[in-house]
Amino acid sequence: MNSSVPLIGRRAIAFVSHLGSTFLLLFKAVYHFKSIPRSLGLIVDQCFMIGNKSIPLIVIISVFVGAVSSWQAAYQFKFIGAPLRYLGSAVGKAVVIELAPVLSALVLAGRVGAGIAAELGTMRVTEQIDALDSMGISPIRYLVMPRFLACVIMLPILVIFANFVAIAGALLVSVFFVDISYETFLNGVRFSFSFADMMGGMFKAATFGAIIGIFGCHEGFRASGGARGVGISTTFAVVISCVMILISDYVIAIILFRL
Amino acid sequence: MDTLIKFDNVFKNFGEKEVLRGVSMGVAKNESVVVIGQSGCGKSVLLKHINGLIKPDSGAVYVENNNIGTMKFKELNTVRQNIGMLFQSAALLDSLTVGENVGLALKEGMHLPEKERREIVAEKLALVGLSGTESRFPSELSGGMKKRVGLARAIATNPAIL
Repeated sequence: MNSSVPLIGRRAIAFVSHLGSTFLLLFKAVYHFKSIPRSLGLIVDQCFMIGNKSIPLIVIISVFVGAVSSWQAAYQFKFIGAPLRYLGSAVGKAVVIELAPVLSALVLAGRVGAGIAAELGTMRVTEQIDALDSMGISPIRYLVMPRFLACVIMLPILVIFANFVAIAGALLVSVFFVDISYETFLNGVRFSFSFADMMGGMFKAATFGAIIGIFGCHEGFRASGGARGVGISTTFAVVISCVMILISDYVIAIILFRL
Repeated sequence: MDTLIKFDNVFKNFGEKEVLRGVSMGVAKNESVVVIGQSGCGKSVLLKHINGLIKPDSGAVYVENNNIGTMKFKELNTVRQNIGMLFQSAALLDSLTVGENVGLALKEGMHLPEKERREIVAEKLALVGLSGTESRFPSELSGGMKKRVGLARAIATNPAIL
């Protein structure tokens, strides 16, 4: 017991220090927003890498998210005896405010966050980041800011796309397997749609994008010791991003969607 | 002669390992200096102190009378643009072509127009015997060619210190 107290203390200090250095990197990235005009090419490249190349993945997960949420909602409606005409309302609301932003972000933490951490980690251990520094080029401006900004911009756009695909998936299951008409389902979606919910979902997505971008960059920058070090950093970037996404989801939910 | 680089009683440790112990030395303008020593004795660490990639634990490093350890980031970057450095592994950015690597400091640091950059890149690549390799990626080059591209990149801005 006695020996575990200093250990817990050291771990807590290390964790707080880690979060502190991540926030410091975030502030530095935001400070370099002033260089957006001359870094436009780099930002557009990153938007393409992060956004465009994630579309197939988003389509696959969104179709199944919509499909399973429709099936599960119908199953529970049946259990409590609720009328199925509200299926579209329940699924539409769940997709827009929760399922599309959170599940898209968790999957993208794996694809995008890991990609950023592995790329920057490799650059760190092969002295490419030192080379940028030695040429008087800020690695924060050249590497971190474009990736961070691209994540913040592209996550909400991908989530809008995910919303449509997930609702389409839910519609297909509802029409073909739950046996309600597509008019009934879409009327339900229209009935429950609220612009404020949509904006809440977008805000969540932008926050999750910021988390994926900054933790991916931070862990990549901290990589050391060759291929093994890059692997450890990449794994940690995905784990910490997923944990932070779920924590921030709860915090945003209690702030934006009051009971 | 003017002293361009000056080490003043520099100490550097990595954990328990003492790498630099009270190094004091000077390099004059137009002087060529060779640092020789066993593997792991701190030659690269000494060099990385000159452009501030590594900061001393104590002591000071001066470049053109500027204390590298106390400079603000912006000022340090200006000094760095006047220092060319060839890394052991060449450290080419593998997502960029040879031409983009050599012209990187000209574009991002000096903001030269594209036409001027192209001319300088072609000139420096010719100097290292690699004319016409601008569109190739580092992964398509041999180890020796990568080193030469690294050298072309280091001299691209005509730095006062190489």
